[in-house]
Amino acid sequence: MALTFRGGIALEKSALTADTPIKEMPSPDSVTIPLSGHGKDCAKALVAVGDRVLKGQKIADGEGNVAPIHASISGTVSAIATLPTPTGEEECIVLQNDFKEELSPEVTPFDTPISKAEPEALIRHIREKGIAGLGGTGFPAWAKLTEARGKVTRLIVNCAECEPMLTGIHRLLLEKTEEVIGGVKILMRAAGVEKAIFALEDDKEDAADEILKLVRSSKNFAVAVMETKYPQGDERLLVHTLLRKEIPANALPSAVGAIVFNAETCWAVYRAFVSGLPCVTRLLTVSGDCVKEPANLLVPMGTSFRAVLDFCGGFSKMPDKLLAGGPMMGRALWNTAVPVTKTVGGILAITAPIYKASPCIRCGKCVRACPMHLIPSKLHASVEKGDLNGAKLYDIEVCNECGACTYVCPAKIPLLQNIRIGKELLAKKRS
Amino acid sequence: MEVFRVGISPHIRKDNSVSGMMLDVCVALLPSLVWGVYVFGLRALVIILLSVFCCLGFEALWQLLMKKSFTLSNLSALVSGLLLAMMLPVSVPLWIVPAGALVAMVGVKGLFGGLGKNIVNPVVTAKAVLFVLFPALLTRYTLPFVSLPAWKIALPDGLLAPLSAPSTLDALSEPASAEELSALIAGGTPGSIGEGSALLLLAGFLYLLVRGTVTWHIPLTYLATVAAGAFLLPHSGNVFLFVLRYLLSGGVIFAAVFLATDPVTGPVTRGGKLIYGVLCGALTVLARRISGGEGVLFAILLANLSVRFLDRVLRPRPYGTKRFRLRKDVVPFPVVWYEKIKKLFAKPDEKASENKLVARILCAGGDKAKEKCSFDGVMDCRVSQTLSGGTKLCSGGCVGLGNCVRACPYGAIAIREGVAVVEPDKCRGCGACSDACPKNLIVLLPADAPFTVLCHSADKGAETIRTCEVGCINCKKCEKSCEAGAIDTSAGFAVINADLCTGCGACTEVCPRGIIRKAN
Repeated sequence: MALTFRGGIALEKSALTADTPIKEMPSPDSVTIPLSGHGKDCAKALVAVGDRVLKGQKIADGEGNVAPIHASISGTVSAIATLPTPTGEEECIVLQNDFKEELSPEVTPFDTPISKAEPEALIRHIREKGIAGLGGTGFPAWAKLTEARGKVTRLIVNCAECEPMLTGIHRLLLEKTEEVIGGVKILMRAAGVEKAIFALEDDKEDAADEILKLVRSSKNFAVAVMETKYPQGDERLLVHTLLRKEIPANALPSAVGAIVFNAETCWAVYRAFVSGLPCVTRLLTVSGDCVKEPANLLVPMGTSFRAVLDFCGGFSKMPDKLLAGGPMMGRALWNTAVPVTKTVGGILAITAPIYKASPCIRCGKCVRACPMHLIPSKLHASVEKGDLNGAKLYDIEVCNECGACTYVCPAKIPLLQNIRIGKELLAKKRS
Repeated sequence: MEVFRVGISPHIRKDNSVSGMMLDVCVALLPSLVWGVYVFGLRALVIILLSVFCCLGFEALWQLLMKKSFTLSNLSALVSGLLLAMMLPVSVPLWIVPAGALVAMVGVKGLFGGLGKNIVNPVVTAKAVLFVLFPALLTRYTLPFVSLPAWKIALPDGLLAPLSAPSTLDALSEPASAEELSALIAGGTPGSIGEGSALLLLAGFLYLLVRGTVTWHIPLTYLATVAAGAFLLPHSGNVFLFVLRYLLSGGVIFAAVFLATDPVTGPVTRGGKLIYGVLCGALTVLARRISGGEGVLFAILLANLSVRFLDRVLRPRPYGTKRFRLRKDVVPFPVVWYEKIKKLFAKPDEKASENKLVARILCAGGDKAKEKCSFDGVMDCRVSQTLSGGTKLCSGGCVGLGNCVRACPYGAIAIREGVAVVEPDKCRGCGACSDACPKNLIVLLPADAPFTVLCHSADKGAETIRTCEVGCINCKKCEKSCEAGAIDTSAGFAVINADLCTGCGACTEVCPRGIIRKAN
């Protein structure tokens, strides 16, 4: 029986960069670092215009679900202003690079051996180094650990990378296997779990073999190879596939005893402890049929999309869409002057035909594709009519916005769009 | 400047289409169609082509009359044409074909509202109506491999009498024989043009399964239920032969594979499909028992009526929810219906105020404002605003996708040249448009305010000159020209205070952009 969930779709992965080793991008002229935390919580700048900052120095912090923000280069603060980012307009700190790459004295490795350290000390260090979910959520890792401590027995390392065209995690697992496993061990101790599962899709068999080589002897680690299906990387479906448990609506994976971390987040944790470097670089995949040299890059936080695209040779032809993230759930941008942030896992420049919608023929493909077992065509029709009550009855709020329904619809109906409009209207009504 | 397209995810789509699915059905039908022409001769081909022509023609005619766009390219009328022809015996008068096409395309599909909206299967309804009106004409079955006059419109009984043969249904009560069964499986028995060869129909079913155009749920449960029902019926001779012949007669396999699987009139949920198949099967057995003849048609029609109910009762359990839960968060249906009825009888809101307020949209850009990106997807101003702040370079410009138009209960707003414009005569000042606008561009002003500055953008003058042909550049000439001191430019654009304005029009003469306009 294949390891999978009911629903979902098989996608053409078109991974142009699956065999391209990770390249480090040189330091850019300037970086723009947004100050937002998660949700409504925001960080406040700790520096002022004109200050000199060193690489790895904390430049912003705040209350609530916020992970501290650090400088990814050494240089001078040239502006603190509201600027465009991939998620809208936010307050950002702009640093001009002095190209000295001077490290801040704050960048020191963790002093105690992991096996002897107190979990609270580990969590404090994870917070100090600004580790947030690098798989796309940007949720502060310390907050996740604090909430889950004592409730969870399994740590799931999310190596699924189910979005087409993104290959950063695949390459990371092939090239830095030991470091990722090191990070997992630290997180296991911090969360108080004894067993970890590396969850990969079966199009990454080579990465699974690499991990197995290192963990085969230990009975605390398992490597699960799941059927390649979108959206296997969604944590709700991951938990269902691996543990055969469903997370109740509005609850977290800790409710069923699991804590899920993206593989890159684990790697960031390892580097934060071993070298003391905070979360100031990230992996991303630059791909798409309109990019001259697609690549997997290690990019300083805050580098502009323009700079990253230029490093990859620029556009080979004018793309129809420029995406931050993957093609299924990424955000379409109108501007290349936005920075790489903790939530950007890919930069894609693609040609995308315009499809004209035609009436729903009730073929049921969206129902079969929906991993949350909803009826997307019905939700779309309810929102179009303005029947929000009917939409709620059909559980529009359970939708995880994966877009599988819209992908398969033969009539090219913008299902997810109306569903999102409906969810926003309902959220507004509630507040 | 690079102009990208902005829209909500997902940004890629599968390369399937409705016409692709319809084409799959045509391919699946092709072997049976060819066989039908082979068995029943040229007249069968004439009927098939006539049926396709009439179905396409009536759909086009209806769309022309109703001023809708033509959708013949989605091939659904082509499929209807083929299916209708296959359900008719070759001996029907040729005028039956356009009559059936009219019922199917106009009577069912057109009147219900077009593709996707009909509750009953169009071709099943067509044949059922023809059967009720002209029962004799629709049951004159002839021997196979006898060629009938292909172009003669109506075939007289005298011509057909020596060629007639009983339908397969008539022989149901007799014991079945192996030769009979092999004839039924391969095809070549008296019957409708396309329902003959079980083998070719099942081949078509396999093709559709492989292509993903139909799922196994409905056909298999339908056939299984009919078989189970036949098993329980009184019979003579070997029970398995009896069941097999029962399944192979009267177009049951054709119905199970091609009629019951019609997506528009069938369920969308898995549970719904399974029960629908069982229902079709049970009703077929029942109808045949009662009438001794055609059961399939009325079984499918009745089952069609239950589909909406089946989908609601048998919908899948969403992830993370319990099968049986109390829905305290949802307004119960009786309350919803009560509110709707109340609204029907409620008197319309007449806001008669002395100083009648009229909505004005503080933008005149539209097509005159340069775009920073294009937009794709649901035409909703709020969505465009959230994704990219609208599609114009000017930060204050009207998005032009019509949220205000849809919100207005009096039809007083329209989008002209890319920007929303109010018709003051129809506007009642209710403010619905103002609430709908995500950029807060719509204000309610006194109806007698003579002049308004149609710009709300605080962008600097030099930038506005770059991004819009008509936007206010805050040159302050209007403020200087106003003797009543009614104009204030501190916000970055000019605003006329309606209470102080005397209507002299001095500002309109000095404005270099022509952005100060009269109320109508």
